[in-house]
Amino acid sequence: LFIGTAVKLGSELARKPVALALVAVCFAAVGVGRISMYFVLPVMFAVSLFAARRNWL
Amino acid sequence: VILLELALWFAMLSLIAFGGMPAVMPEMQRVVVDVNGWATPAEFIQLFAVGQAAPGPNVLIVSLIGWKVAGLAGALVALFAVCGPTAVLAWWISGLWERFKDAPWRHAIGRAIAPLVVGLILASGFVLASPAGPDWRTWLIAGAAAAAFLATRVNPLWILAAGGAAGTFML
Repeated sequence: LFIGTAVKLGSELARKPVALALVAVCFAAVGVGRISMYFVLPVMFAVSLFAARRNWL
Repeated sequence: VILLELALWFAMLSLIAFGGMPAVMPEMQRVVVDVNGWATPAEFIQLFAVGQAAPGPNVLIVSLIGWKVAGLAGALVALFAVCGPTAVLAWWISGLWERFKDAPWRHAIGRAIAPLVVGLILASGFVLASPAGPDWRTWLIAGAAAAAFLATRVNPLWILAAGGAAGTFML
C-alpha cells in the first residue's frame, strides 16, 4: 500500500526529471542503502531546495 | 532508563517525519530492530500490520512498540514522545507558514519536500516488503497489493486482508 501511495503521489512528478532523480536517490539511500534519515534528509532537502529555487521542480 | 530511551528515540523520529509516519518507517525499523534490538524484523512487520489494520491513525505502531518494550508505560511514553513535540512544532510553524504565505521561499520549500516524501514512502514500502532481506514472495505480494491499490477502488483494508492471507500461504 505504501508503494501504491508513493506511485500515486509521484505521478504528479512524472514529467520532472530532477524530481524523479531526487525520488530515486532518496529511495536508494534510505530504502536500499539503509543510511540514517538523520543524515539523508538534511542533505537531500538542501539539494531539493536548490533545485526548487532554480525552478527545476 | 528504557522509558527515557523510548522517549528520546521517538521524539527525534517525530521531528523528521516529513510526510507522516509512512515516511519514517525505514528509520523506525532501523532504530527499533537494528540499533536497539527491541523487536526482530518479523515482529516489527507484525506490529506494523496490527497498527495498520486497527482503526485509528498510522501512529498506533509507535504505542505497540512501546508496549512491547516496556508495557503500558512504554506505550504511553512512546505515543506522547511522537505526538507531543510535533504538535508544538506544528502549532508554532503554522503561524509562520500563514504569515509568509506569499513568500517565494515558502513555495520553494513546498516543491522541495514533495519528491523527498515520495522517495521516503517508496523506501518504506521496500523496507517493509524485505523484512529479513530480499524475498521474491514478499515482493510479489507487495507488488500485487500496490497494483490492486492503483488499479481498483477497493477499500485498502480488503487489500491488506488479501495480502495477509497470501502471506499465510506463501511464507
